Amino acid sequence: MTLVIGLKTKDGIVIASDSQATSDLTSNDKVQKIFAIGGSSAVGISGDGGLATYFLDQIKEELNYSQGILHLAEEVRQKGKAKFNDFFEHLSPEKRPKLSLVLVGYSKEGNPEIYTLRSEDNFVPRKCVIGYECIGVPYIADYILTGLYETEIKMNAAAEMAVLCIEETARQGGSGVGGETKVAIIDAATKTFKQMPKIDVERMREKAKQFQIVQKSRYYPEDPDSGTGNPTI
Amino acid sequence: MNYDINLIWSTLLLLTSEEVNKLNGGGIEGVFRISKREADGKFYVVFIGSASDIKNELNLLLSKEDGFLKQGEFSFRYAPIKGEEKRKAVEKQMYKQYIPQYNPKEPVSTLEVKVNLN
Repeated sequence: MTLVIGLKTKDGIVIASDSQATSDLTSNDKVQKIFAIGGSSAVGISGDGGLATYFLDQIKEELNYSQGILHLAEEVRQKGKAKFNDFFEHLSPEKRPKLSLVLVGYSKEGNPEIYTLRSEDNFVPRKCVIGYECIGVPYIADYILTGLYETEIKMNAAAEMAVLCIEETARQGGSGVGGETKVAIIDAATKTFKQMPKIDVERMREKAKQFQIVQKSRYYPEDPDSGTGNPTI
Repeated sequence: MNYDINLIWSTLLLLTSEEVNKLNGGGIEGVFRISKREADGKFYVVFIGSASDIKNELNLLLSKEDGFLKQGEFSFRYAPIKGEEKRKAVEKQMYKQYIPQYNPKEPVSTLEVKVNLN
């Protein structure tokens, strides 16, 4: 499985993902799931990795990147729907492979926006209204972000938060999320896609390991009746 | 539950110089935890530690001018255990159970042991 997270911040956009792919036969932890498209926007994918990559290769040359993210989302919808109908015309909609996309970028007015598009929903773009979106295995990330995310957050802190979400999801066995964590930013000032250096992501992963639920001791009060007056080894 | 080591814990004692000085002189080597009384009247663990001389360590904590023990009512309990490696391993286990407010980070220990905490 996959976890891709897109976050709007005060000074830009963050998109992050794990890089593990698992099939019935193999597992690979170096799969690219975030792609720059058009220089100032990016897409994160969840689903069949090979299909997603081919699908993107097919449509991205035909997209118009100059009209802002809203226009781009609509183009992806139209082309996505057409491609899927072409690829899988032999299959009824419920039997087709599933593909989810997180599309991040800027509006014509320069505002950061995030859209999610899902193949089973004919790629109808859903505009993000809470500041972040998660696709793939979103449960832990949604829980953490509900508690920690504020729209005032800055890019570096949001990147740390995304890494924390991926680390915490990966830590739960069986989620299928893992491998190297990839983080990219699109700075509001330059509107340029930039992959964060591996060394910075590693530092964030180390910091994420320190994350703890601080009120845990509240569930384990001391028992005033236990213990002995003169304990010995 | 089966434990690697069965510790014998003291009763919950008030954390005052008077109580601490009642401990055996010459040093009790072991692990301890400090808890604070909250509004519901119960004591909740806020700090865990280990020392080759628990009495000395607790007196040190009590004497700190800017320490966390300056406000509120605190209690402690301890369990004797020999060997720094084992102490650190128990400290790590306690840390994971309580995530105490005043321990800045998880104690480092390569030894994995499971002990009773009560």
